[in-house]
Amino acid sequence: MAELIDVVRETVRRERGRIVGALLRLGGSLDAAEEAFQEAALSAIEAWQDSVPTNPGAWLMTAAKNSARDARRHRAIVDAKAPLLVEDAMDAPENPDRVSDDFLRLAFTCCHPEISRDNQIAITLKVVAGFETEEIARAFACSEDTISQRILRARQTIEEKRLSYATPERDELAERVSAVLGVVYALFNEGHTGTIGPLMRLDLQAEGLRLGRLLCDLVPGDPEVFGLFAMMAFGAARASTRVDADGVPILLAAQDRAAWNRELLREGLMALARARSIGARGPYTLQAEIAAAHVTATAWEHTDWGRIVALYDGLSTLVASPIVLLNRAIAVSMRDGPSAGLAALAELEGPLADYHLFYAARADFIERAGKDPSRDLRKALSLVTNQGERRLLERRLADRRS
Amino acid sequence: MPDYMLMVLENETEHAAQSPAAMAGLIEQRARFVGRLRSAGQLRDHGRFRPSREGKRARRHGARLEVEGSPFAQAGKDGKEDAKALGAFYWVQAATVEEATQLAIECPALASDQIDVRPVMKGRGDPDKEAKPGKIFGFVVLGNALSENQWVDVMDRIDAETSVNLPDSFLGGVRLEPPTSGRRVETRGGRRAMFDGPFLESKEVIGGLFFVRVTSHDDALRWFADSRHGVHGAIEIRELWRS
Repeated sequence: MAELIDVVRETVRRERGRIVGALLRLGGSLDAAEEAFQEAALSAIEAWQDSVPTNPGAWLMTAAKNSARDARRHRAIVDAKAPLLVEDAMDAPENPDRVSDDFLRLAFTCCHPEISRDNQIAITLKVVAGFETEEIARAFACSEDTISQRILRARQTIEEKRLSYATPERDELAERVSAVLGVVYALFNEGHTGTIGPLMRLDLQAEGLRLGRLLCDLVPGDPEVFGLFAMMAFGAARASTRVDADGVPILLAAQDRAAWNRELLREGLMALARARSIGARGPYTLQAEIAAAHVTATAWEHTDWGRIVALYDGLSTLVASPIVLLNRAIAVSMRDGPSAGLAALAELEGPLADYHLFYAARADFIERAGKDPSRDLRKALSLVTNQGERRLLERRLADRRS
Repeated sequence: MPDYMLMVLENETEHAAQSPAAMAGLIEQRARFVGRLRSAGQLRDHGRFRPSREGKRARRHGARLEVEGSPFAQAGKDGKEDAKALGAFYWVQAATVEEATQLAIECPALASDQIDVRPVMKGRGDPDKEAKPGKIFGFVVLGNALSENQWVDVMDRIDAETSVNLPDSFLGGVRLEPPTSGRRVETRGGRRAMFDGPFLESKEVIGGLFFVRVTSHDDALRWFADSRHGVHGAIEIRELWRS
């Protein structure tokens, strides 16, 4: 029984996006589509007792369609056994074009520009990834109420503006894909470096990777899909070496490069090669290039800082972000020394006055220049929210005093 | 100009043990190799296979489909330490088999890689193969024909089967000339050159390759089960990296 539930859970997670998307295509609201999917998942636990169907995804799809149809017809309980009658017809392979369209319909709906970013993330995790509200709340260290509110607001926007009915035109497709990438990036990033709580939440990171991998299959013509996936793969490959046993971050310079996950690195490198071969380098691909320059350096001392500065130069022309310029300044300090780094920071204190990593970086440059960084370390400490990073800063400050 | 398949057979353990820098280096060199072939107008298609342990080898026994373990694991179990799995292919055009062999010698590879050069009997490609959604699977047809006549017979039958009722998901493929017309490139003593060939081995050899677009490994197997392929030997089902 425990095994069966695992099989159902795995199938449900894998198939959810495209099945709910298919139900949207067939008409009806997002709520009705989710409800029908939920019914199908429940009926699977019952119906698969004796044997799991040869094509569990197709079984779920048929069951969900039957549920949706019955709910429309009767607005009543569905007959969970009905889907079994057509199982023989469900053994054909899925049409990849259809799967792609259905999954994207749902993803475009949940990541619609009319919905705010926080609400996009919450509803994507709920509807596309199938997380429970409570799990999302835990992942983002917010109350369940907050997450429920975000999901509710997203649902209201979808219903009121009828977002699930609007299929994007070809010329806005790239923009809509980009919105989906933004959500995947945000949730991976939150898993990679949480704003609150522990440094990494591996479940969010794993979900980001899973969705990224899926998007590579479903939108193979967009270089940024592969750029984003490569960037995430490089980050995930380093996951086990990024914090010590106490949950305190280990800086890239001190990470055990031999312990990086070679398989994920290879997957990232292959995705980056695909991104390079199909288009101009967008922001995700450039960030993947920067990460690639780091992960392919045989040691910290061999990092090609000149190349990294050049990549940040390229990135800063595409993304007007003071955080990009901060990272560029760090690379400049490694290439040209701490005073060059300080000069590159000069303009940034205004826009980054509330950002702890600005002061952490400046403290590092000051220290490397042989001066006392305590004031900047204390400022960084007053702003940091992540526990692991806080302890790292405390350690650095304590090291100064001893 | 006639077509040739350059098939890179790799010792995957060696590849997996490469440093990230070396991995990135090989990927870049191969991208440049592809670029050179393309600008010379010699490239028809190319692809790189995901690790063979993700793949399947299947064989028909009458109506029953027997799915064996992954090709590489199988070879390892047979006690072959230098077991190799198909890692990449380059479908090229060259004036002669010697010129194709020269391309194989120039193809970036590890010292443990072996590159088989095989003339293409006939083939058809799909220029949009990489732009369409789904996973792309290579189906490697392994034939076990003892004589050249038998080989032609087997290939004719496969050809007849793939030419009718092709589904949308079919992305083309090639049928190869018998192995006796091929060449083999290897590295020995630090030098990469043609050491063997023409060769004919009694064990199963690659008779052709075709490509199918589906959404999962399970669907790839399902597609195969529904098709009439593989009645003459085994089939290796391997996902390709997007390239």
